[in-house]
This record gives sequence, structure tokens and C-alpha cells, in this order.
Amino acid sequence: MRDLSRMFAILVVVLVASACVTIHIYFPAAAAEEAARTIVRDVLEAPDAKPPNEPDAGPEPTSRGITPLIMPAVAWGLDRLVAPASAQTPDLRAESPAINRLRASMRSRSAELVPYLRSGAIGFARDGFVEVRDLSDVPLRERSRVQRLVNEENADRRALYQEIARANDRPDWEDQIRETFARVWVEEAPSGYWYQDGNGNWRQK
Amino acid sequence: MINGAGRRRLGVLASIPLFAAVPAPGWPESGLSLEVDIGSMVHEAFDARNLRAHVSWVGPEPRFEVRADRLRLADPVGVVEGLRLDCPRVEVTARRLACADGRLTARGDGWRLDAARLNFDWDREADSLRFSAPWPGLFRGHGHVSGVAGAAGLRVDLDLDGLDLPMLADSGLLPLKMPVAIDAGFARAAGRIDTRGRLPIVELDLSVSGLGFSDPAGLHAAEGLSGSGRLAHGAGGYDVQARFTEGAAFFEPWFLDLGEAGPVALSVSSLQPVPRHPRPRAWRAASAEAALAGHTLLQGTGLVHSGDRLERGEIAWQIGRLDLAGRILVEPLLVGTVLGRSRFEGETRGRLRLSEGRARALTAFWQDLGLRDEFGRFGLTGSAGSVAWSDEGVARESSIAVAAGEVRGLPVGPFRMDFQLEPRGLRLLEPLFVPVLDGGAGVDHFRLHWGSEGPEIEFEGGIRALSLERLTEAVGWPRFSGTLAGIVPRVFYDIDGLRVDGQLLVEVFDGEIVLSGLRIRNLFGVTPELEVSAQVRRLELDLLTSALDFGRIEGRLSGTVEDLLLVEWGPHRMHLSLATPEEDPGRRRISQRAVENLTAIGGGVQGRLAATFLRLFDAFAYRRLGFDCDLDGDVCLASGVGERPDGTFVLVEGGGLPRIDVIGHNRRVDWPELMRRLNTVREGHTAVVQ
Repeated sequence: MRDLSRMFAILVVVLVASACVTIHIYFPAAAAEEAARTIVRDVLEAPDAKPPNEPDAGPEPTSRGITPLIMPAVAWGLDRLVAPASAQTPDLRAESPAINRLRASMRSRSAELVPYLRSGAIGFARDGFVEVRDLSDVPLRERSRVQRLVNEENADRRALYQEIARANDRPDWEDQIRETFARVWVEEAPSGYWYQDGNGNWRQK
Repeated sequence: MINGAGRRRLGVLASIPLFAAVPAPGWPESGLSLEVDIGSMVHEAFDARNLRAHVSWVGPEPRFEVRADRLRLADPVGVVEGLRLDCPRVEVTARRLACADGRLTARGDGWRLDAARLNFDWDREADSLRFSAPWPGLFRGHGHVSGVAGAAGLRVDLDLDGLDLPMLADSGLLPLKMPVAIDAGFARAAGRIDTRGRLPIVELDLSVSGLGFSDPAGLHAAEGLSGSGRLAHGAGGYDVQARFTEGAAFFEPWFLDLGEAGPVALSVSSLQPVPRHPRPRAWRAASAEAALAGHTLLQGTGLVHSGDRLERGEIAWQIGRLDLAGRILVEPLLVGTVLGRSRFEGETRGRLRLSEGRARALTAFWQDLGLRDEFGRFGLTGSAGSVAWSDEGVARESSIAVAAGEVRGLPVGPFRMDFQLEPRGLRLLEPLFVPVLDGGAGVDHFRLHWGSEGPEIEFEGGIRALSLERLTEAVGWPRFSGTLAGIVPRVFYDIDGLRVDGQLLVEVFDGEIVLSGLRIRNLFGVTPELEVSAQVRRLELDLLTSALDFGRIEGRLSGTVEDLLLVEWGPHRMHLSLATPEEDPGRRRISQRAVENLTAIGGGVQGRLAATFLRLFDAFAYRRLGFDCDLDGDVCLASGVGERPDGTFVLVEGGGLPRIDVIGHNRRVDWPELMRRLNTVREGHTAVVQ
């Protein structure tokens, strides 16, 4: 009986030791979208109000860590006892000195970009950046200036996406942050602005 | 020509000769006429439908007339409709048929001739047709065209002026598919086109005025462009020379106003398509040259272009005025980078070799080079040097000399750096010393290799006796006396910036500050950041407060500054803990002015009685003082050397009589406001104790 108990105890220890606790690390999509919307509105000088019908996006697992095919019962129990990361409120840090400076830089450039965004000379690209669409109506002498504005804006946007990822100690989130911003730039763009759809075709909002 | 010597294929699909002594309906009335209804005629050079010829003898010379409903000629002429050639005076012999003062009517894609004058002379034995005509006004041009056509081909001599380029481009008669739409401009063309030899020969002197064009997106466009040049085609392909003197052009990302920048001369030799290249628009040229206003020369040899990018070739440059060329040519390429807002000066020359679309070797030389960042982040003057790089192995030695420079307000130089570039890295050949202020930064060993995981850095160096007085002045801090020195055994670089191993020693205020964990990020970016931790050892408060002009405090100060983050040289985050040391604290006195200033900085107001009382004394003894601050952003959570039951904290704990304690009431301190008040005190606008 004692041996049986010992064996059972060993079995439990082995099971516990060998159990793989699933660790989910989530990209906080809703928080990222909220942060992106705040920043985009700030840059576009739009009032900071929650848009109607905003999708209540939940966190999306990014399948980090180890997920066994068959999770042992003990591990399942551990997983229930130890609250997984998803149970925590997903959050995204979107403020740092660098982020604030980049926002200020983009905000100060916004007034210069607006006439060209309105005329359709430039538009919001599907990758979260600004792109030249059609300069033919822009006076020749202004075209290099437009090109400069676009390149400087894109340098700031690239740095912004990197800095937000870095502020959260997750450089690997940069692409997801950029994709979130790409969507929000278009959603928040005033009517008449041009943007690229998912296939890269230009459309007017 | 069409009765050929067996080399030509001629087919008469329907030939119904009709001899008639009376005029056929629709033909001019005549005494004797001969009408030939050929029907369709197919030849290597043309394909005629409903072809009819009519010869009549009205006067002393016969009249000749040819009509065709539709005639297909070789490109670029293509389909011609409604052809009618009327020769009122024809000279006919057994060998020749000559037409003087003929009239040609026809229409094609984008052009139309209405009774245009034409003379020709057809020598049937020689199988050649000579022709000459005043330019019929097509495309609003004028001039003269003549030539000879035969079995061997065609030669055309032309001298035309005033050609409307948009009309010409729209006509479809140009042999090239234009990548841009021409919306303005006139051209002059004089020379010859000869297809009779084995290879077609073109020799044309061309000039354009007021040329305007644009591609659909406006990325390649010009306005008011005027210039002249020469186009020739021979065995090696096309040779083009052009010189533009007026107008403006935008070729992404470059904009050039010739009126401001000066004339541009371009030349290309042996330009021709690349046979069997996977991309149909690929071309190659034996050489090409572009010169701007006499100060910039770009030369390319052995060039192969895929249509999208330069695949192969060697490019040499020579720029005598970087201040002019830099603004036009270099700066647009650097927009969005750290050098995107820089102004250049000096001279440079060099050579770049490309193959398979990638840089393979580079040599560059420069002298009197100056660079100035618009935002004042960096700059240098009087630089000379040479660099060599090859992707095949270690290149020959490179060197950079700088007479003077500036980084974030810190003056540096002069210095010289000798190094060797590797395919994906750099190796320092001689120890480098960069004078900074009174001291400098030395590098004994440096090697950089850019691997798949990012840069790998080997570094040994140090900082030699940097003057704190000038350093603090340069970064806008209160001026301190002292030196900064240290040994840097290693340097790392990753996403979080440049991490410096080792410790730096700051000797200041008769004590020392040991800096460690130094990390620099975004030094030339929007927000430079510096992270460091510091151990503060026995600073003499008398010297410190004198430097700050704060009022005298005697005693020593020790402590730590952990996790200090400076953003643009201002603290953004830190855990500061400074206090008089327990051991050997020395003489401890605080002057009345220092107390007043501490009170003013804290925003406190002493009672009138206490203030009057305090003025009786110059200084007070104290037992200990200290200040702790957990700074995060603009908020500092403050504490002192002791806590009081009422929740306040002790900043200065008095000793002896009269005893004076300085008590802090506010734990959440607005850091920028604190700094503002400190500066106010230092500038002498101290609040008076009431």
C-alpha cells in the first residue's frame, strides 16, 4: 500500500513536472486600436471621441509558448489555478518621450500634408504609410516638397510604430501595430481623402 | 521597286485592265485616257486595296493619277486611307516616270494631307524612286523633305522646324512608345534617315523649345524645357547628345530649375536594347554622361538597365560644388534619414561599380567637406578623406580627417581616423582620439561586423579628462567644474541603442561620481536618450551650492542615481537618493540664504516671526540632509532623511541651536516646476522670506 502511495506520489510529481503550462501572450488588439485612434485623431486634429460601431475587438492569441496536443489533467488544473495572461486586462503603453515627440512632429507636419491629402496628390497606403498617388495637378516646383513631406512623414510613422512596440518591450509587435494604424488612418481619414484598399487600389473616401 | 528582281514578293490578287477612250465616271475628263484597275496589290513594303491608276493625255505631257482606298505601309506610318496622287505633268520614258509638281492627298492615324506638293522620279531600271517635297504642314511644321527609295531601302533627308510635339506624339508616327504624355513644345529636326545599308543610319540634329511632358502620376515631368542635341544611330546603337538650357523638370525625387541651377548636358553612346533579356524594356549603353552647370559630372560606362534598376555598370562622379549639387542631387536622396536636413559643402569624386543590381566596389574621395544639420544636432567642417570598399574582400586603407565638428552642441576635433572597410564591416587600423572639449574620447580597438543578427561590435577605448565645465555648458546644465574620464572595455549595439560597458569616473566638487550602465539611443534622432546609473561619493556641498549659486551649504553628499533616463539631456526617469554620509560627514552648516532658497523652491512661506528670527543668523548647523526622488515623467515622488508622524518628511534635520528643520509637505513634486524654481533662484530672482 505504501509502495502504491509512493508510486502515485511519484506519478503526480512526474505529471506536474512534465506538464506544459500553456502561456498565451496576446497582442492587445483593442488597446492598440484605441491608442492608434487617439494618436491618429491627434495628428489629424480630429476630436477624440469613440467612433460609432467600433468593433469590440478581443485579444487575439499569437500562439507563443508550448501547447501540447494533449494537455495532462494536472496541467489543465494548473492552468485554471494560475490565471493565464489573457485574464489580465490587455494594455498597451503608447506614451514615451520619443512617442510624444514623434506625435508632435507629425502633428506639426499635418497642416502641410492636408492640402495634398485633400487633392488626392497623396493618400494613405495600405501599409500604414503615406504614398504619392498623383502629382500631376501639383505645380512642378512643389513636387519635390511633397516628396520630402511624404518621406519625412513616413520616417516618423516608421519610428512611431517601432517606438510603441519598444515601449511595450515587444519589438515583434511592430508589424501588428503598423497594421492596426494602417486601418485606423483610413477609418479616421476625412471624407474625400484617398486610400489604398486591400488590393492596393486607390479609392476615395 | 515593285516590279522587282525576284527578291520582292508581289501579288496581284485581282487585275482587270480596262482600256477606254472615254473617261470613266469620277475621273477628270480627257482626250485619251488609260485606266488600270489593279485591285489589290501585296508587296513586302505595302499592301494596297482597290488600287487604281489613270493616265490621260490632255496637253503636251500626260497626266498621271493613282488612287487607293487603303494602303498599309510599314510602321510607324501604318494604314493610309483615301490615297490620291495626282501628277499633272508626267515625264514617261522607257526607263523613267517622273512627276513634277504632284499633289498628294491621304489620311492616316492622327495626320492628314490635302493636295500636298510632291515631286518624284521613278527610275525603273535602277529600281529607285527619288522624291522631294516641301513639308506639307503636318504637325504645324514647315521645311523640306527629300529622299530616295529603292529595293535596298530608303533614305530621307529632312530639314523641319516648328513641329508641334504634342500633335506629333499623338499621331502615332513616332517610332517609340512614349512613357510620358507630351503636352507642350515645338521641335526642329534636320538630318537624314537611311535604311539602305545593313544597319539603319540616323543622323538628326534636334532642338526643342517649351517642352512639357508628364507621366500619369506626375513623377516624371517637365515644363518649358528648351535645348538642343544630336541623335545618331549606327552599328553600335543610338548615340545621343543633348543640352538643356531652360525650363524645369521633376524626376522623382529630384527637381531641377535650369534657370537657377544652370544648364544640363546629357550624352549616351551605343544605346540599344539588350537581346534575350528577360525584361523587354532592358537597355544597355557603352557610356553615358551628365553634367550640371560645370560643377557636377556623372559618368557611367558599361551600363545595363533592366527598365526598373541599373543592373551593371561603373559610375564615376566628380562634384566641385557640393553646396550647389548637394541641395539638388544629394539631399532629395537623404530625406527621412538622419542626414535628411543637412547642408553640404566641399568637393568629392569617386567611383561605384555595380553588378547584378548590387554595389560591388566603391572608392570615394573628398576635401574641404562641410556638413551642417538644420536642427543643430551635428556638423563638421574641413573634412578630407578617402574610402574604399569591395564586396570581394578587405579593401585598401581608408581615412577620414576632420578639422572640427559638433555633436549635440559638443565641439569635437580635429581628428583623423584610419580604417579598413570589409565587405560587411569596418576595422580601425590606428588608435583614434577625438578631442572633445579639453579632453577627448579615445578608441584603441574597434571592429564592426554586420551579421545576420545585426551589428557585432568589438570596442576598447576610453574617455580622457573631459572638462565638465564646458560639457555642462554645452548641454545647458548649470556649470560644474571637474572632469569626466573612464575606460570603456566594450560597446554593444542592439534595438535599445548603444550600450557601453565599463565605468566612467566624474571627478567633481571634491568628490566623485561613478557612472555605469551607460546606454545611448537615437543620438541623432528626434529624441536622443541616455540611460545611466551613478554612484555619488562624498561631493563637497560647499562647492556644489556655490556652482549652483544657491546659498552656501557645507557638508558632504553621497548616494545613488539608479536607472536615470535623460531625454534630450533632461531627466525623465530616475531613482535618486542623496544624503549626507553617515561616516565622516564633515562640518555641516547651512546658510540663511540656502534655507530661504530651499523654502522658495518648495513654495513654502515662513511665518513673519520665524523669518525675522532667521535673519539674526548667517548660518545654521544641521545634523543631516537628504533628498530622495522617484521620478517618472514629470512627477517626482519625494522623500527626505526622515519621516514625521504627520506624513511630512525631513529634508534638513537641524543640529545645535538655533535648530532649524526643513520639512517637505508635498510628496508629489512637479519636476519641471521644481527645475523652473531652481533656475529662478540661480538667476537671482529668489523669493524673499517673509
